[in-house]
Amino acid sequence: MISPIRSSALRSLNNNSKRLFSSNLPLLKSTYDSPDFKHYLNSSKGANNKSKDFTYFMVGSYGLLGAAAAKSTVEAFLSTMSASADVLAMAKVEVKLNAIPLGKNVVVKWQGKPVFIRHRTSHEIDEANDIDISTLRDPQNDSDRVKNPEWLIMLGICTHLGCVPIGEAGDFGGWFCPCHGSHYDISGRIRKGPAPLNLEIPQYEFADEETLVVG
Amino acid sequence: MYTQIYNLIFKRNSTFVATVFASTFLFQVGLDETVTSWYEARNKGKLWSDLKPKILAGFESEEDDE
Amino acid sequence: MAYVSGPVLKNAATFGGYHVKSIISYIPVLTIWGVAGGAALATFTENWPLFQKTFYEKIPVIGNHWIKEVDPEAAQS
Repeated sequence: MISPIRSSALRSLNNNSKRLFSSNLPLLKSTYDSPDFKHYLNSSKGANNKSKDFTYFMVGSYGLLGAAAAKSTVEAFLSTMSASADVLAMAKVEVKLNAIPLGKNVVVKWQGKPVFIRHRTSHEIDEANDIDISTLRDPQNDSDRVKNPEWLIMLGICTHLGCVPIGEAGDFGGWFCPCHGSHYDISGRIRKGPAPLNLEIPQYEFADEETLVVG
Repeated sequence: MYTQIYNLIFKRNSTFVATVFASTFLFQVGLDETVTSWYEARNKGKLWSDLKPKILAGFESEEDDE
Repeated sequence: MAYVSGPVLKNAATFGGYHVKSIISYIPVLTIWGVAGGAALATFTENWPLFQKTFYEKIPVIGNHWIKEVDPEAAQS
């Protein structure tokens, strides 16, 4: 369809927008005929923002993946800066004791080993003391194993082959090693099973009333 | 509908960037949860949480045999 | 006879070299940018225990994601 540019351009201007741009002004003044492509254009274009939404959604999705990847990369780099094993080997561990209720076990990691902390009840303390130590395989008084009888702190490594015993289990109300069936009592002393020694006591001190420092 | 979404999110760069980062935050959580649950479903029966009651029960019954 | 020699000009109120009215007009978009920055910060600190304990565990519905209960026996051996 050939029509004078003046009329078609003006018509399309009236249909779509009333703005005059310096770039289309010479065209409006022109007397040359030029083809009208209106019938070949996608009339639905710009009717809604579906395709725009889709495009921006894809852009945003790449942004999302990029941000997640960047975060993981940064994290991987930062984790190389965390304390190395030889530093951790010398480290001490601080435990807030007021978070441990009476009669509960807590396991903390210290130098790569589990440390059992038990807040013993008075009944359990009596039970630990109420034993003829000459009958034990590794005779030790409960008072030699604790600084404060309320708190039993020991390394959670079975003295047999180094498994980690399970708390509040076994025949003696203490710990039980599932690997070969060693039973420890409420003071961590070996009572039954293949283990030769009582559970080891690490170096520790009470920094104040509520803070335990292991190491 | 599409225009509403466009005006709400994509029109301004600030809302666009905010949406991208907020979705990234949720995406990380969702991905982690999905992968974890897939891993746990795939390894069902081999996980410690599945084995723990069995092992405890098993050793106590063996105790009687010894 | 009083003559008006020119228009009466007045300087708009400024704050830090910027017009107060333009600052006010920027507040909504700057707020959204602040939200965007906060979301970016949250994204990058998602695995940081301090942030997890302080903020993320307290988010409703998805807060449980950051509360990990590792069985003490399973952590070792």
